Amino acid sequence: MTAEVLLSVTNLTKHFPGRGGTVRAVDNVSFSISRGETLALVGESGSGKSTTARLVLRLLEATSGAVEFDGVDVLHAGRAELRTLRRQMQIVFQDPYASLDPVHRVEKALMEPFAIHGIGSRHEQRASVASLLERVGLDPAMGRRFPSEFSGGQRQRIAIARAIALEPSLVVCDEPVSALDVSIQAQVLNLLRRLQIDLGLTYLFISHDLSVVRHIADRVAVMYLGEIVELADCDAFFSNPRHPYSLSLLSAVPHPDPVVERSRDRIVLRGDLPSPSNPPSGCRFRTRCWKAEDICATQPPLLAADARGHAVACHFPEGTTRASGSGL
Amino acid sequence: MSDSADHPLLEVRNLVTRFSTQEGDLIAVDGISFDIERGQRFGIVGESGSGKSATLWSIIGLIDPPGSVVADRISFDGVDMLGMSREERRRIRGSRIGFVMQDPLAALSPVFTVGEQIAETIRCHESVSRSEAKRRAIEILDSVGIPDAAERVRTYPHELSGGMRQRVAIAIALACNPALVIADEPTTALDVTIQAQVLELLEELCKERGVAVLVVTHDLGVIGRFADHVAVMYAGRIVEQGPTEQLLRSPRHPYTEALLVSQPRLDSERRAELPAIPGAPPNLLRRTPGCAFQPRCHRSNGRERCCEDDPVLHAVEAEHASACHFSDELGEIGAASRDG
Repeated sequence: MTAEVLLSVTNLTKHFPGRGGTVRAVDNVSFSISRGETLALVGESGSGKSTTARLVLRLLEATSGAVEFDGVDVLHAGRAELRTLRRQMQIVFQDPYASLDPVHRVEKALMEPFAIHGIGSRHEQRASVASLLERVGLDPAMGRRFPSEFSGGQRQRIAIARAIALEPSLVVCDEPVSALDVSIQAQVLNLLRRLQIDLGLTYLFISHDLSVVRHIADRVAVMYLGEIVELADCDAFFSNPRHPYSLSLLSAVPHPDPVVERSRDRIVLRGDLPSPSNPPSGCRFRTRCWKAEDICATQPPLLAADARGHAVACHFPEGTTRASGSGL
Repeated sequence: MSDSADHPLLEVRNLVTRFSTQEGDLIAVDGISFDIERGQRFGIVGESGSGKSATLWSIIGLIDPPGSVVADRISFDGVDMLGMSREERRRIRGSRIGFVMQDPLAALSPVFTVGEQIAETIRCHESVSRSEAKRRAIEILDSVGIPDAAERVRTYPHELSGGMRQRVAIAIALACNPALVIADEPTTALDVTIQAQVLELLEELCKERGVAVLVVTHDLGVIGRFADHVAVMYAGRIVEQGPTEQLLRSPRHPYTEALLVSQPRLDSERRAELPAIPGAPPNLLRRTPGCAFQPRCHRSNGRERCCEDDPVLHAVEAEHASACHFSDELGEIGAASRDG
């Protein structure tokens, strides 16, 4: 694929000062996303995936590294430049109950982006809001209502409408379906997919749910304790995961078919995530890894890609091609 | 207690839980019945508002006004729980019935060490000495896989990770050797790799001790992994019930079927569009006649019976029941959804 790179992140790092020492929330993270593509950032709580997203949007200031969006240096952009950038980069949060102001009618919440950027007359803004609501599958008349009158799924549609209001090119989706009921998740995933096709959106999709990621992503980056440990095309990742941590994540997803579930080999990791203020030496995953040897404690493995661009940071990655879905 | 062979461990008959609100009565649980046998792992699966948690709270007597609970029978080990005084119920809770909640941090006290909290549970229900209670606390922490239990009894909940806290909560639930453990979304707040550990632990311990578990969850994966019998709730009612394997492979209610196929899975074919369930769950304040799932059902096609007659839960096979008028039209979805 020789698609145009829209977002490129290089050695992005964020350290928070903490009582127990510096918390290395994001450490030397590099990736790029092509226009129209979906890159999923996968990991557990504390892996740094949400922090990475906030650094990219400059909702948090990075400690070091570089973020280039459509040719613009995001981390050094001035106020005016940042304002223009923000039209182009939007975010949908996990919790649609927290992301909408309860005292504002939905219409007002959706007119705000236009008002802030001084786009159109009030009349034009209203018309835009109506078509936005329609676009996300809601009745335009619903704009007169307050957020409390909507279900979780509808609120998430509103949050998505607000994110796409100014026709951005990049939308960060931070666990956009995790707080929704199972029967509603598929609706919202379908909507995100449709919008991507219709509007040519690029997604940075953050999730802990690998089934969802497999459905929506083109490429997958797995994070562990602030670092990317594996980065690959979606198909390659799910058919041939190479990092032991990726294997354990895939293995932990419970399967709704009890026959499959009971017959498969599960990898159950020992112990908990170590503290990010005092990560293990060498490979950060080694304290929970069943393959760890002496070298893992002394030499941090580098993220290295094979000929097809499948990158893994492990001294002993899984090598042989596995039959699709076997044992997982 | 009475002899154990002739009645189920937990018997629930026609349980109705309602909350009076300014807009009228909200019927959260609408006449459900089920049994849990000794040592059984029984799952209730449903979405928010389906009544699954209200069912739990009703059984153990934790619904307070403006909520009210009526039932033909709720009995535990042959003893009627509805007629019990608050004090009698309190004595059963924590000793014969243990609990594991979704958020262990909310369930544990921040100002006592985990050892003190386990020991207190024991001393609350049994007359043992302080030192004996402490010895048992260490023993049980060790059995839930907490390393250096003798040391860890002195830690406070905030010093532990989420997974460790849930282990402590399980330790407390099992401290007095209960016959039933009730677990409300026990793994929802945990990361996937920790979820797997906690489910495995709960399963092992309950098998070892012959404890029955009632687990409530929104996650069909947890059900498939853990439960041997499952009830699917929708809008306050059980719409389908049966042995887990049979129910998940050959669901006989369109809601169960739709839930199963709408979820992206690791082994399903990747499709552009997921077969989503349209609409949203109904408003429980304004019940309409007919089947509550009808407006969202992909099989109803507006058939008169679905819109007018209230479907009742009826046997479709041994132990397998469905509340769909047209349950005969459903069969194994396995092939279709598994292989795309």
